[in-house]
Amino acid sequence: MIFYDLTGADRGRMEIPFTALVVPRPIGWISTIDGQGRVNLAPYSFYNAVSGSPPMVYFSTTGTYGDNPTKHSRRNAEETGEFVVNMVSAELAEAMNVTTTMVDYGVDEMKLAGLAPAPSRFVRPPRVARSPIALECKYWKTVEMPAEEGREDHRATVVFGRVVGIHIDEAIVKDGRIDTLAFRPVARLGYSEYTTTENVWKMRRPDEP
Amino acid sequence: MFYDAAKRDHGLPQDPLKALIVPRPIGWISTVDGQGRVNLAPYSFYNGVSEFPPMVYFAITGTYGDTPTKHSRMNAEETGEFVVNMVAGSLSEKMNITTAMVAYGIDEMKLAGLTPAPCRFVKPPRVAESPVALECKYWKTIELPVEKGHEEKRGSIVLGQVVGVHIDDSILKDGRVDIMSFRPVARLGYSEYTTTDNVWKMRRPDDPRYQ
Repeated sequence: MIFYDLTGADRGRMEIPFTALVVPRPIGWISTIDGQGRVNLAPYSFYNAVSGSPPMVYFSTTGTYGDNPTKHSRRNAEETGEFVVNMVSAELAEAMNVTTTMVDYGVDEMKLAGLAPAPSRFVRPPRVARSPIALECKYWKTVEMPAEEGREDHRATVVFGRVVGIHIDEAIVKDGRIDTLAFRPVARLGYSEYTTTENVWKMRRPDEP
Repeated sequence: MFYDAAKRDHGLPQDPLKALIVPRPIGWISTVDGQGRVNLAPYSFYNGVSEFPPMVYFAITGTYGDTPTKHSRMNAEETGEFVVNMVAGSLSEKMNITTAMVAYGIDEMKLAGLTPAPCRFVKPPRVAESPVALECKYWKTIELPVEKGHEEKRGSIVLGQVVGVHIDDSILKDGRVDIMSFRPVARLGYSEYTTTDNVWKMRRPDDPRYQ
């Protein structure tokens, strides 16, 4: 086993990105609007559910680049109190990648990627019409993570939201259940790597009757 | 179809929620209690929340019986430490054994026939068979909102900072983590799981190497 001490000099020597060690990460493809109604769409892999009752999710913005375009989703969610999480199915992988482009505030990545917007019911940001799942969310709160000495510009913030409305494409429902292989979600690994869900198996808890 | 998440008027035989946020990584959390007794349990409401410094969260949702789902949280808060172990494809059956609802103080690592290995900076042992282990220092707990009528299912999230990383040399290839050498298990909805069985690359369009 190799061991890295992240509190000391090893931190700089560790060539393995932390993101390669927490895998596979689901992708939250977040659509928001700013105060002027301009659409923003960006993928986050520090994203997941945090609660089932009520249904809640988080996404985290890590790092700042240029004039902080990675923070547009957070800024919009805080400003308007709303965001939508769209599912990246395998067929949308390339379009999702187009929306990772660092563009100026106010530039509509949904349009940039050639994606059609569809209206949401309870919130203003549009959902991605071709996404088989969309979660309409109401912003709950933002929690600032600690800063790392010497890396203050990479300080992360976590945005939490409550899911209030859910869109599901009937095409991915089979016998009343979500059929994961019908849309094959894309997930994030380390480096520039991605994976697609291509196999499903079941395991019951040993104490389940 | 559309449904109101609060009313849950989806009309489906089972709540689909967890099948809609997929695939979820699994944080197999080892802790010790105040008496040094080991606990090991998997959480799929788990992920990174910060890269600088490296930080992770795991969330406790719901309570069952005498609340064994809360042992990891209780121990992390009491001792200030926890370890996240990677569930490689070969460890899925053993991971499943550790989902059993057992009384506080019962060592699920032993129950599943796993070997404890010492950590460097924290007291909880890591799972020796896991190819990656993240030693974490507890930072804080955030209580999530209560849903009316579901008060007993109130969630909380535990946040920790990664202070030490163990990586099995055998999963490194040319200095990089080779995901196909350990095929991590991830959680889907219902009783479903998946294993990472394919990898492909995609560069950001504005990455100079993309051209």
